[in-house]
This record gives sequence, C-alpha cells and structure tokens, in this order.
Amino acid sequence: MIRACSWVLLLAGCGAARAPLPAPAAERSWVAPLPEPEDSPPPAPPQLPPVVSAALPCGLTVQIVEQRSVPVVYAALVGRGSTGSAPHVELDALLELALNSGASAGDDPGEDEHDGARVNERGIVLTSRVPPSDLDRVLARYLAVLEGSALDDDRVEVARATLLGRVTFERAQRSRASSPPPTQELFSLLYGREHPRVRRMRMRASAVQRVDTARVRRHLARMAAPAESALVVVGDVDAAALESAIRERFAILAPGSAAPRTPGAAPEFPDPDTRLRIFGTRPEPSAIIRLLERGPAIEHEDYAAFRLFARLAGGMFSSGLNLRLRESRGDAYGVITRVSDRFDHSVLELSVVVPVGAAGAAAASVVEELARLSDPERIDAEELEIARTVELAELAASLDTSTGLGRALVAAFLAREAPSSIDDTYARVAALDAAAVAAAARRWVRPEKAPMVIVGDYLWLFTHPVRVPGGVGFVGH
Amino acid sequence: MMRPMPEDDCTVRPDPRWCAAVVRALRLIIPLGLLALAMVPSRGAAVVPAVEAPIRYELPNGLSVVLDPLPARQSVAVVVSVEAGRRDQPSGWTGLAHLTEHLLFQGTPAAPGELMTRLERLGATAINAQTGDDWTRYYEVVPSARLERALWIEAERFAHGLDALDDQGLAEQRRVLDREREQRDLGREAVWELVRTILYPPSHPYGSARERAGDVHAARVADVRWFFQRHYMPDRMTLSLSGGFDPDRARVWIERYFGPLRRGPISAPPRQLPPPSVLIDGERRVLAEARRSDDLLCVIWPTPPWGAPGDAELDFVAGELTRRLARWRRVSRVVRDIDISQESGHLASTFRACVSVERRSGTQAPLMVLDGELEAMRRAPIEEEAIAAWRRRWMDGELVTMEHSLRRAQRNAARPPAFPGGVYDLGANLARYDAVTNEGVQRAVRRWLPPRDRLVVSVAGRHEAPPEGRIVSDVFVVEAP
Repeated sequence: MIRACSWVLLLAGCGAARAPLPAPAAERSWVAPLPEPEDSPPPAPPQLPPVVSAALPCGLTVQIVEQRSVPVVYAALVGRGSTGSAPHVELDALLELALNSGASAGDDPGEDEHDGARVNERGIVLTSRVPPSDLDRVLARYLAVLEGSALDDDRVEVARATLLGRVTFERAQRSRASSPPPTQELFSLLYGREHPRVRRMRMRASAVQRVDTARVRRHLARMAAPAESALVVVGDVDAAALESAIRERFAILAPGSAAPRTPGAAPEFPDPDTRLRIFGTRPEPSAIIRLLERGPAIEHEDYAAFRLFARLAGGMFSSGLNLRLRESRGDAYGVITRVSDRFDHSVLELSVVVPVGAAGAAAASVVEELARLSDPERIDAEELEIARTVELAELAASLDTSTGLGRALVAAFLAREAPSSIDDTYARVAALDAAAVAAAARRWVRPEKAPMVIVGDYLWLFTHPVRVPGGVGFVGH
Repeated sequence: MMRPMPEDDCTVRPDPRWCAAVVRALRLIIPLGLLALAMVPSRGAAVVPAVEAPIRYELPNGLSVVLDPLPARQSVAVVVSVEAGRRDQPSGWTGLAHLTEHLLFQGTPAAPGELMTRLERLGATAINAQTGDDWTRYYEVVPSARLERALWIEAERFAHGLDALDDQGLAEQRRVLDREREQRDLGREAVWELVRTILYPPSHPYGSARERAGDVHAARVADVRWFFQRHYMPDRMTLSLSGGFDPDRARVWIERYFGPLRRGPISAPPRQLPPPSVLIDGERRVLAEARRSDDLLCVIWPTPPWGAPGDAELDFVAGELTRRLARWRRVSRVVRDIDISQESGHLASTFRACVSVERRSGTQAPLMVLDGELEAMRRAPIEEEAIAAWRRRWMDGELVTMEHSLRRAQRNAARPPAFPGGVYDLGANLARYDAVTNEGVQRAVRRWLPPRDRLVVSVAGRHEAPPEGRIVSDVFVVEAP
C-alpha cells in the first residue's frame, strides 16, 4: 500500500517571521585596551635540512631528508623522461590513469589520495604519503615501475575503459554545443589549438583505442628511465639506514644511462586575434571572468619576480585588484590568482565571479591592473612589501611538512637544479624590488593580449558590450 | 568563508552541504603533560605509531587552550573556534552568524583597518574563517617569529572587534555576503542546501540554515553586537596552536592577551545540546529540480555522530560500497560520478550515497544497483582482506591529514562529545579504526542503513530551475502490513 502525501513546496525565500532582537549590552567593549607587543625582528630565512643525496649504479638519483616532527613519509618517484618519450596526449592520459593506485573506472584519485601519479610533458611523478611502516610497500611499487613490471594488461584495460568513458562523455557534451567549452577556448587562445594541452581536452575515443598495452609499457619505460629519474623520500625515516636499504633493494636494476629527453619546441603563445571571448548563457545573475597568461619556467631568472607579480595581481587579499573589486565596489567575493608550473614555462591563471552587470567594469579593471603592475612607478611600496612578505612566508611554511619539502625537491629535480636551489628561490624573492617585478611583467605579460573569457547572461552581455583592448568576440549560446 | 581559496590550497574549505558541528557537552580540563601512547600492535594494518597528545588547559575566564608544539617547524597555525554558528541564529535572522564572522575582520581601534591585511603584513598565509552549524572558526598560519603579534591581533578581534563597526562597514560586508551567496549558487552548491532542507524540517536546529538575502540586509549594527556579546565570550571559545613555538612563551602571551577577555552582562546561552534525531519512518521520496547538467540520486540515512559506535564502521561501508559500484560504473554508459560517504558531524551524522547520471537517464537504475549492493552487505560480511585494506586507508589517511599544522590545530580545537573526554584525540581516532571488524561492518549496515527508513532524493537537472532549486513532489512510501 502506498500512502501518498504529496505536495508542492516552493522555496521562494519566504523567511520565518523576524522578531526584533534584544539591544546589545553596550556600544563598546568592556574589556580594557590590551597591551600591544613590541615589534619582533623579521623571520630568518628557512634552512633547508640536510639532503642525503646518492646516485645508484643504474643512474637513479636518490634524495633523502629526515623530518621527524610527525610520523609521516612523503615518497616520490620522478622521471624527466628519456629520448623517445615525446608527449602524446592519449598515451600520457592512459599511462597516468593506469598508474594511479586502485585505478579502476570510478576510482579517480582525489586531492587527499595517498598514492597518486601525474604524467604530462613535464615528466612523470608518482607520489605517496604514508606512515613510516608503509614505506616498504611504496618502495616495492616504485621498483616495479622502474623495472617495468608495474603494469599488467588488466590494469591498462581498466584505465582505458575509464578514459574512454570520459572522452565519450565530453565529446557528447561538445557535440550538443555550438562552440568549444570556455576552458578549452581559453587554453586555445593561449597556446593555439594544436598544442598538446589543448588536444588533451578534446581527445578522441579512436585515438585512445589505438594505444596498445605494449606501447603504454614502452612509454613508461622511457618516462621512468632510471638514469633520468629520482627517488625522493622526506619524513620520519633514518636517512642512513634508508639509503642502505634502497641501494640493496634497487641493485636489481641494471647499470645504465639514458639520453635525456630532447625538449620539444617551446609553446609559441601566439597573439590571439581576439583576446576576449564571451560565452553567453541562459539568464544567470553572475558572470565568470577568467584570464590566462604565459610565464617563465621555474629555472628562469624571471620566475621569482613573476610569482611576486601574481601575488600583486590577485594572489593575496591585499592585492589592489581584490581590494577594489571586493571591498570597495562589492562586486566580488574575491579574486583568485595563481601560477602553475609546466615543463618549459608557467601559466598565470586569474579568475573572479561578479554580478553580470559588473562584468564589463571588472574585465576592464583586470586589464588595467596588469598594465599598472608592469610600471614600476605605479607599484605601491607597501603592497610590494606585503606581497614579498607573504610569498616568503609561504615558501618557508611549505618546507615545514614532508609533503611541502618533498614537492620542492621534485620540482628542483624536474628543472635539473640542485636541492640548494630551494634556498636560492627564497633569496631571489627577498631581493626583488618594483623595478624587477615590472621588468619581468613587461617581458611576459601582455595586458592588451592576454586571453580572457567571460561566461554570463547572453542577453545582458550582448546588449552591454564589454570593452577591453585586443578585440572581443561573442560566442553566443 | 572569507575568501575563496585556490582549488589546490591545503586549507580546509567549508562544505556548505554538511558542516561539522561542535558541542562542548562538558567543561573539560585535562591535566597537563604529554600522554604518549605505547606502540600498539594493530589488527592487520601497520603498527599504530606513537602520538603525543597536545597540552590542554583553561584560563580563569573559561577560554580553552590547546598547545601542540612541533619544534622543528618554522610556522604556527593559529585557530580560534567559537561555539556559535547558524543554529544559534534567532528565527528569521539567517546569515547573522556569517555576517558577524565577516565583520570581525574589519579591525579595532588599536588595530585599525582590515585584519586580513594586517595579518598578511606579518606573513600570515591560509587566512580564512568559516561559519558552520554549531561553530565559527578563524585561522591563519604565521611565521613562528610573528606568533606573539598574531595572538595579540586575535585577542583584539575578540576583545574589541566590533568597537569600530559602523553602518558603512556593515553595508560593505552585506554586499560581500551577497557575492559569496551568488558564487555558491553559480557553483551549483544550492542543490546540497536543498537536500539539507528536505532532511531537516524548519523546526530542527539545522533546518533553516540557508542564508536569505532579506535576513542579511535586515541586520543592523546593534543586532550584530548583540549576537557577538551573547556568544563570542571566552567561556565558549577554544584557542588552538600547532607548529614551531615554545609552549612556555606561548602560555605567557596567551595569558597576557586573552586573559583580560571576560563575559559581559548578557548571560550565557544554554550549552548546545545534540539536535533531535531525524526520524524517517518509512521511505521518503522527493523529486526535485536544480540547475545542473546531470541528474542526481541521493539516498540518505541519519547515522551516529563522529566517534560514536558505528561511525568508523560506516566509513568502511562507504569505501566498500564505492568500490562495488565502481564495477557497475565501468559498464554503465550514463553514470558520471559516485560519491558515497559517512558525513561525520560532531553532534549528528548522515550517510549519503549519491550517484550522478546523464540528464534525463533516470535515477531508478542506480537506486536498484545501490539497493542490491547494500542487501549483499547485509547478508554477508565483507572479506577480511577488504577490511584490512580499508583499515590501512583510514588510519593512514588520518595520520597524513595530521601532518599539516593547520589541520592539526583545527582538529585539536574540535570537541566531538563521543570522543574520550569530549575532545578530539588522534590516538583514539586511530584506535577506533583499528578496532573495526567485518562483523561490525555488517551490523552497522543492518542497523543504520535499513532498506526502507531513509530519504531518497532524485534531482532532475533543469536549466530553468531557480538557483536555490525546488521540490516538485514529496511522498512517503509505507509498506503494507
């Protein structure tokens, strides 16, 4: 028997009756003024802990750091790739899925996954965060990767099924739309349509099907050639004992060398014909504004200045752009700006959500801010000081954990730099002034050309043109 | 939440769907000293490592303090948790707790200007605040050399945080809240608030959580002051530090800057009691619409709070159920995502099994598959191997989570009543996972995930649905006797 009690409820924001609240006890606090502390000297630069480095007969680099504050170990196997391991979007995507722990359709690694893998043009990085008692399992897994026994047919086929599911779905979504998705379009404007990063967004099922298991294994062997790879372990370990154990365990790998992968041509970053694409949607109160811009590689002399530029351009609460859009105008909850590192370049990403009626003004503010920060005379001394302080503090704090220090060592290895470069980065940031930041910005940032997209109400945006330099194109909906 | 953080930031992002609720059921003072747990051979996973408990004490004004020194670190996470949240808002005043949170960043007469900027000048990172159902917390990570000044700023916030508040400041933050609300809706998070509204009736403490613009815009300076003076008192606050600092020096600073705080004339509100259990008598089926590009099935059961018997077992159930449904997903062409979890709250939890499918493909098939797997788990215990794997995953996950100073400080400030002594303890958390058995998991499925007494929500993705979503029908299905 079904007893049906059906009714329609409308959630139209009808609030409950609002009775007046009692008056506060006082207009001001009854707590006496608190004594203010004296200023303390600035923090000392962080000291990189001792890094035990070794090179095994097979060519594998080993870096071990003891960090015993908590019983956690960060371990990574990182490969720069050897000759023949050219980027191949379907192959990289398939290999990445196959390597991810428990890789099965629907079991995608999340942010907190303990074992993870990334494969892209930068190289291959397998990471694990485990208690010390579990390190043995991780080392066994990494050894299997290096000796070529990590991927069985089942694992690859499960990964293929997962990837095909995604590719098929995304293709179906694209086929229903009259234009590429905004994100794909933004990356196309930055890189050009045929760059691997853009092609990875529009993989084809047939291309995935054509990648056979043997090819996946060969790709892994080249990406993780021992002579171009490193084993990084940071955490609650005895470095000397661990080094001995690793030497013994990995002695099974044959001595050898590998020719480093020849870097492909750096992205051209063409100037887009139309720098802003507007994607019109059904009526929505808010619009999303996104901007991408190329930046220097991590080993480039401009890298530190570029990161500071990103802080100033929305990478901290006190950035001029955030204060203007959020606090002064009330047009945004906040601006997000960050720098992500790729193989031979970096990418600055800026995004903000505003009421659609404020989209034009906000877009113009973003462009104006990029231009302002390219002029040393217009960078405020206080904002620069805050940006430098925050950047240095974040660098130092990141080294507090095994994960943070491990990631820094992995990044240095991929960039072919010694661990001491981590200390160098701190010193470089500390020495930056407005002239250096603006000079780097002028070399990399194109205020009038950096690609942008706006996604928002079609009708409003069509009838209220957004005016920014570099051309505006309307994609419709 | 004060400021959106990049996706890969390690700070805790507020979950607008199910906010963890903290209650201090007991006024607790734990003796000083470190409690080292012995190495405990575990049932089948790695050996449980020794963990040191933090230092806990209380100031004469009632402020609870948790000190977790990690000497080798160069930064310190500072967390202040207040036992006041959305459930403490009087009827018709949604958003008052959230507005108060935002306004406490506007500076004080002694520390004028935006406190975020003041903290950034110190080198603070991960600065943010969150308003939950049962608590509001403020946090940042500062260089160790700047800890004293950071403590002073936090004490100033809670001592004089609203002294400089005026109508202009209030109006500015109302606008920021509007933008935050709009961004949540744009992110399609409204559907989770809709589901919450279905689960908790308006009379329930969690029932009217959705913030309404009208309520926020009705709030005046005096209203915010009243809320602050009633709830933001030291006897309802916890200060938690984790990272590189000297605990003896920290004690001196805490006494100096937080010691003067005291409750004023407004009497303390009653202690938060666990909310009434949500009774689902029969299967409630709700059809709703929301602005999504897919359809969504969510099956929800009320379950024990964090740390209570059954909670750890249900974590294992969630993992195993996800694994089993993943096998089905491989052959299904319409499944987009599977999200199954025991959403552990301090006072109340829910077990939620959600499957998203391509729009207009229907939610009947995933419901049948889900029911089939649950029935299998009721009939036969999970294999011992699977239990061991999940045990390792949950224990390892907790240890890894506790690597970060900020997460340690946040966890240490938590007061789940079901934990020993009513405070979070890492060792106790590891021990309860270690104690899970396959029979216990089977019992948990039978007891807490019955086949009939549950909420089944089917959400149809419709572009024309209002931003907050809408319920189309609400039906109870009762089996014939």
